[in-house]
Amino acid sequence: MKITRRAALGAATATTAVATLPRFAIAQTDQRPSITVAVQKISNSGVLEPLREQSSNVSERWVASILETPIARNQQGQLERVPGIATGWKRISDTTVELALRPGVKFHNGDELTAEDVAFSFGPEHMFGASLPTDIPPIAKRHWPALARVEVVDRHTVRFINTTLDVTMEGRLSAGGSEIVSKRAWLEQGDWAANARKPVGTGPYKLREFKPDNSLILDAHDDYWGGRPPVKSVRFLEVPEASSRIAGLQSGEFDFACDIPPDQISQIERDPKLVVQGGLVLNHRIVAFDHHHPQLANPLVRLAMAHAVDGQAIVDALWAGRTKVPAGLQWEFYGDMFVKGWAVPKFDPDAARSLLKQAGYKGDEIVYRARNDYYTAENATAQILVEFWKQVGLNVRLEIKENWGQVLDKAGPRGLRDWSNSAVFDDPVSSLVNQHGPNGAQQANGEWSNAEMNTLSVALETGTDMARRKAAFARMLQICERDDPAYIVLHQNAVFTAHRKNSPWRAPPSFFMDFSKQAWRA
Amino acid sequence: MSATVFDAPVTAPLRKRATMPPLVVVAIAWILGMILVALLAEWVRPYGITALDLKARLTPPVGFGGTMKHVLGTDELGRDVMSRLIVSIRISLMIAMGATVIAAVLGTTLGFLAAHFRGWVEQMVLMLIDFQASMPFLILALSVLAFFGNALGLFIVLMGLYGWERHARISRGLAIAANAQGYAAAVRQLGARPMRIYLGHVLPNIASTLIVSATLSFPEVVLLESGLSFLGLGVQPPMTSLGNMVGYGREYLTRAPWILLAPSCVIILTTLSVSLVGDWLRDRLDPTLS
Amino acid sequence: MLRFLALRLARAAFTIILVVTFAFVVLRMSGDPALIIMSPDAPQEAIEAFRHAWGLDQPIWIQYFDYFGAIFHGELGQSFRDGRPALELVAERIPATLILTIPALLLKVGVGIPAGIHAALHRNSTTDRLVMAGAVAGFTVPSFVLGLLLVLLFSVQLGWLPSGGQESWRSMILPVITLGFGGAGVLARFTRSAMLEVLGQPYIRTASAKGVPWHRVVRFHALPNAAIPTITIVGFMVGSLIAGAVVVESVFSWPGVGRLLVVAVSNRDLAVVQCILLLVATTMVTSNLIVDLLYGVLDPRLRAGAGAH
Repeated sequence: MKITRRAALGAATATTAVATLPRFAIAQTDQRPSITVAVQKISNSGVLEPLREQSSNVSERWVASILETPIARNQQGQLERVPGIATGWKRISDTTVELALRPGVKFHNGDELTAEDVAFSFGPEHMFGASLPTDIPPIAKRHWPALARVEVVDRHTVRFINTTLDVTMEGRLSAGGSEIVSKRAWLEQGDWAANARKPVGTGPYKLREFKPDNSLILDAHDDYWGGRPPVKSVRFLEVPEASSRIAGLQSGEFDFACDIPPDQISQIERDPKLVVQGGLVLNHRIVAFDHHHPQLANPLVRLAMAHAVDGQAIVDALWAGRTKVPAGLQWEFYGDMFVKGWAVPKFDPDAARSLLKQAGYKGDEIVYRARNDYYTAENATAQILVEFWKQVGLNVRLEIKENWGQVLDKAGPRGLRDWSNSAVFDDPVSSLVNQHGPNGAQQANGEWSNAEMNTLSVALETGTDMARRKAAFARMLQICERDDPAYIVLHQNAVFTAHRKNSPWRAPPSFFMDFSKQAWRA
Repeated sequence: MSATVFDAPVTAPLRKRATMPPLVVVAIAWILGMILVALLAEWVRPYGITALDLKARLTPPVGFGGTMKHVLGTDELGRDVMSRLIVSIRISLMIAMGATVIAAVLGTTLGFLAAHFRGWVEQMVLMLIDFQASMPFLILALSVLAFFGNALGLFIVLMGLYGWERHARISRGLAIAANAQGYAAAVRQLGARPMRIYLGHVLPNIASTLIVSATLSFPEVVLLESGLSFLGLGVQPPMTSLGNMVGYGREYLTRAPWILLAPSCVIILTTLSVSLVGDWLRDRLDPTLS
Repeated sequence: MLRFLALRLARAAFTIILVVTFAFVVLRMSGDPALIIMSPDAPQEAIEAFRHAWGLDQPIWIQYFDYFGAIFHGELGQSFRDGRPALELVAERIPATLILTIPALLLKVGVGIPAGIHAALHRNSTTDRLVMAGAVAGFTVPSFVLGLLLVLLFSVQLGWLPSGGQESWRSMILPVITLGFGGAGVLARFTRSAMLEVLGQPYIRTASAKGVPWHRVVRFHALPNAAIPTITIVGFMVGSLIAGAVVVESVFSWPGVGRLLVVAVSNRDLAVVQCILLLVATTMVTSNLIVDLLYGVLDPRLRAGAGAH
């Protein structure tokens, strides 16, 4: 019971009362604010281990504050790769990347980071070994499908050696799943479970206390290699109700409220002390097909369904125009791999009707499984979609399901379902191949498959000729979004964070609640 | 105290006051109105409940800046709140009435069975009561939604399982007390069959408490249904109900309060009316009140 | 009395077996914890490894008997989610819930029963009408609506009280009121009606006619008899102290057993749900036992009902 931890509730800055004890002398002159952040959920898995916590939009809020990947991403830019723990990286060969590690990087326990820690983090004790919970190695394998070994060259140099050609190694080194932990701390803390609850990394904030489903408190890591963090402590509070998050912000109990429904933005901004920031994230809302459904076996019906959807209307109505209909399942963030000129099937009810006629669709029922606002505005979006489809003569029945097992249940007709896809790093391998390729969830669930797509997926994963890879990717988009549709892309997802104006914070283009120096500028 | 028990009259004096208080008249009128709306829902609703107009989202009601096109305004998808309210009244009344009747009949029957047979029958009933009370309704609701999907009939039966245990406990307790009282024993000695004793003599004597219990059940069912909507386990879209409207309207409490207030008002007025009529009925039925 | 207790204990044991079995079937048949906790985006191999690690790939009846066997050895199992002992997870939430539900229960009883008695004794008076209107308002407003309205008024508009969380005793005020308001309404109505019923009984009139002072009639004749239905309701309220605040805990972000139940149920975290259910069932059974004993104290005629006829 922590009821009496503080006698009275004051302004949000009051959480400082129980700051870190060893730094008492500093604490007295510490003028940095302590902030409270209300989130919908802190951790799905109940632990703080990125390899277990698969849901990016939940754990992404805090992971990078505690644990860092070797190559960083510019959270104040376009998430491009920038030096982090590694100051440089170069290809020694097609299968080997060498990292130059930054000297003087301090872990939260005071140890200096060395090549040993990096090798350990990618070794059997942390990622691939038999002593780990049995689900961890397969997940690690998803992140690093062909990693042969990590070689320590010297104290500050380390080599990542792959078994196959892979142009995405640098991307993987900057993505979730590649976080570096302290070898000594890990071994001292003992088993995986203990470490999963108390990670020791090099991030700007270190763990003080974690209460699953309740709160996560981080303190500034003053020896952070990037300089003294601008915030003294960050307290994430789990507040499941959106209205309660907003109310707590308005009453001054919270400094930040995450996951603001787009419809509430205008209401919040009426308060002159509050501001809403945020925008697009690297995640697209899609509806996935099961091509075994008798009505969906014909690709023309699936294409017709795509033509019947007015994504822009959803963006305007439910997202206050603050997001967009993207150019298919890809992001500009891909850089050279982005296929310019590609677009989702145009909103064209007449085209949809004629395709349905061509396909001989007779108005038989198609089941559409969604969940109850698992995704932002999911319920509303699903009901709008059903109406769009009704307009062109499609008979779609909405079924609200309670969990993934029920959504994916093979029993009963399985037609359409809600989903979202992320770009984990700047290459289509991280999205189209990972989600819809031969090892992706859609095919693993037995919803959809396409032989040509599967051949191209392998070519994309192992190819090194960028022009040919790009051509393969363009063809894959053609297959998955036109010729044999696997999904319909509805819109890009966006995330909105409301906060008090006196917090000089700049939102990154991700779910991350970045409290680094770069994000906090007075 | 026990000495006075046997003074109870065998027959109840007829009630003298035949006129209804005006408030009860209003309450009955409201309930009848709601029933009428429920029966005619498909004809009186101005729009379809799924017909949406994304350009006219969150339009306020008439008198608050809205137009006659949508008298009670529109919701987050631009659907007509009035139409949804009308259909919701129909569905919620069906659920609440169906469930209240199921709970009252089931509970009272089991309570009487327990009181009459005692022994292991009573123990079984009491065990079921404990089971029902111990099983969070969340899990019962989850099971129906998971196994049977969004079927209204099953949902009504499910809600009927809520609250029967209270009827059962009360009717058992009161029936045991009544059995021990003079009139039941007297009738029994006159050779009346158990069925007749319970329906003809015990039931009227304990009816007042049961009616109050039933009029409590009615709003409880409506509330439970909205609580389930809050947890995402209630009536599911595209179907609608009062609880479902309140549950989904909560996010718009400050921006578009009419979405939540319209169904809330109906819930409160209907419950109030049911309670008023219940109280009045209780006085009429209670043979001992003067 | 011994026989009575033995019978009650046997019944309680059967009730608990029934509860545990039902929950097991519902939870295990309506969702796969591996898919929920790992998310379907996880590699198939990882999902299968998870199932295997927790024995979820065994036939359902083997899982059931394993679970039961463990319970009989006092082993309540571990959470699928993070491997912690279920009992530990639940136990650390209980104080947070009781600190809300016990004051709320006191509020219900302390306000509802006196209000009901007062209304009954002054039937058809203005106070009677006011009390009943308040009671109806109490139990017709959904608790999440009431909670949100209270937050809007007292936290956002007036800034007097915190909107949620577990910061200080002041954080308790709004959730306790939200929880207690509806229950007080229910109790007020029940008490009033039970009182009216008893007051109409001939023995009251007899006692009154015999010249017993009215306040004595009320205290010694009317109240004990009217208490029977009221105590039944209070018994259920006591029984639901542990898991009766599911919605309110969500609205006020209160880390109690109710929220744990919601999270555990949606994760299909069987051991945690079962652990909560065992606690709830035990509380409910105990509370009902006490109610039955009180029946006997209040009305000797019901005592016969304890055993076989």
